[in-house]
Amino acid sequence: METFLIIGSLIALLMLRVPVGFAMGALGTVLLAMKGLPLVAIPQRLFGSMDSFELLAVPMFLLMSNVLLKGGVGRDLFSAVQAWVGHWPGGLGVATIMSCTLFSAISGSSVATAATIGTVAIPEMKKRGYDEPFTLGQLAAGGTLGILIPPSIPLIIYGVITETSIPTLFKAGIGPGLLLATIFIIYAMVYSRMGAAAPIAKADWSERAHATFYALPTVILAVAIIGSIYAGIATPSESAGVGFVLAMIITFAMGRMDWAKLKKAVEDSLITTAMIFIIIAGAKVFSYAITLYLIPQTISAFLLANISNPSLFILAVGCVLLIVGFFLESLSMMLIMVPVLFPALEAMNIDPVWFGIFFVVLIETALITPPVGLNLFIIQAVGKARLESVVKGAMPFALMMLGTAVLLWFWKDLVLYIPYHFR
Amino acid sequence: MSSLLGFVRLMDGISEIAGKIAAWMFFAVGIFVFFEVFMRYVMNAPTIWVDEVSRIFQVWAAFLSISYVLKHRAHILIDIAFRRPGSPSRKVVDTFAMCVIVFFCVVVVKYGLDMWWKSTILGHTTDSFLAVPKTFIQSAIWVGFGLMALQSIAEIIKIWAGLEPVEAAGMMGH
Repeated sequence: METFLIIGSLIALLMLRVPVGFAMGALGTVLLAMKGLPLVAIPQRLFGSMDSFELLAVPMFLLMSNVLLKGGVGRDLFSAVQAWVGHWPGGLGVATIMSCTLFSAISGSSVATAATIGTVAIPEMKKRGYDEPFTLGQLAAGGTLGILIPPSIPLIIYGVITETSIPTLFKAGIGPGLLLATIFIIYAMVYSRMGAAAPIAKADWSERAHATFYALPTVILAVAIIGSIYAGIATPSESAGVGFVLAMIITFAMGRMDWAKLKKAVEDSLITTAMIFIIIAGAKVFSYAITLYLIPQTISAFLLANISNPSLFILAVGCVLLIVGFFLESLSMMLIMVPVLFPALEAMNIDPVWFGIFFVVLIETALITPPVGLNLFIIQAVGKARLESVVKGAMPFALMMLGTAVLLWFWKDLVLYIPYHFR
Repeated sequence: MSSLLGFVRLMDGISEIAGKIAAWMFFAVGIFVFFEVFMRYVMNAPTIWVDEVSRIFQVWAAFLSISYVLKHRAHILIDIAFRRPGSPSRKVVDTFAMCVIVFFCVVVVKYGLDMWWKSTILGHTTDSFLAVPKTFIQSAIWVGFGLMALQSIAEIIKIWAGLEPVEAAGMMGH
């Protein structure tokens, strides 16, 4: 009963437009006060939530991708990929997904990926006669690769709250990320065969060399960052910090960066960082309070008593996350649901790394399903289109993602092979 | 009325400055981290201060920025109900949301001050080589949430005085 009251109050606060972090913080405070627990625990938790070097990866990766974004890297990547694959059937569609995949390797954010590539790709695809819903849906979906292909902000946060190794999570995201990218590419090719736009002329070698030259620094940067994390040379936070400074050096050297752009990049990064951090801080207070009320334990015990089969458990979790994902913004979804579900994983013998990736695939789906789907809104704004058009185009992609989530359960090695065999 | 609007302008100004400081603190941390990796691999002389100073900067920047984000109305909320800006029901709901924020901030400031005061008079320091006095670090909590409480009150005034809140500066989510 207590459990339902608490969940109900949280939903009510969220519906009444209380910012997510504060809804969790305030409800956590009331819960602690009702049990007569010392409230000094609240500033302690808030402080502890931010006093973390691992978490520093979030602002660092955001600074890096914002600097690259303002430095016009999206156009370089897109032109380079287009020079190589533009003449394939559905060439621009393929180029869009490949650009998103490449940008995902330097960006941990799906919205940043969608916005960066979308700004360049949408006008180009429209000009070539690709139909609007397909173009927009493809970018909304392609952007979500940003959080599955490492680096990934949701995976960093999952690692911090569950104390799972972040580099291991990053490695685990590669397989499913590339699989999804491949599925999207095949879809783009098949879709264009069924009477979409004609392919563009094949670029000659000098055009290819020229375009590749400009994209090269970004690609090298991506390889260096991911490589240094996997080789154990630097922690994710350190790699991200170094990546940020290198991104500044590269964009300044290419003459693409100036003081005004840098200032904008730094300030934009702060807003995103702060929106994420306050939710983490509020969630820390909330999860502390509900743990003292034994809510996660109660829910785990309930699940374990009623569902003895791990497959059914994952199916149930998947359905709950799908429904929650229609309404809740993706990170809030992770910060509210993971502490509640995590205790049950061990009892069910489910690998926390696998679960993290499964969760992120469902978050990706949530990002492109209405009514609350951040990527839909971003692409609507970038493409200056009607929301219905984006939603219509994103639908097939959402189904492909759900299919991938199901596939992950039957083919766990897709997630676990890389982290456990390439150490 | 004019003193209320003066208060709104004052808070907007302070939050804006706090946000700018926070933004450049993260920038500085990026430079520190780069310096650390450079010293470790190139100079073979890792630093003892980067890890801790970066965390202190992060704590300060995180709490300084919350009122800035509120001023830009960029806090993440669930935008399903009461969507029509300027409607009377929306004004009431927004005011309620701000009151929830003020409530939380007041609790945090009260107990944050207790915690800070204790560390200050006892002269607590961090358990590290640098032994930074906790008074410098823990003050971030009551300063940040204190500003947030005041900014929320300013937002309530804006709602009823018909001043449009500033649009989100950058929607660069995650």
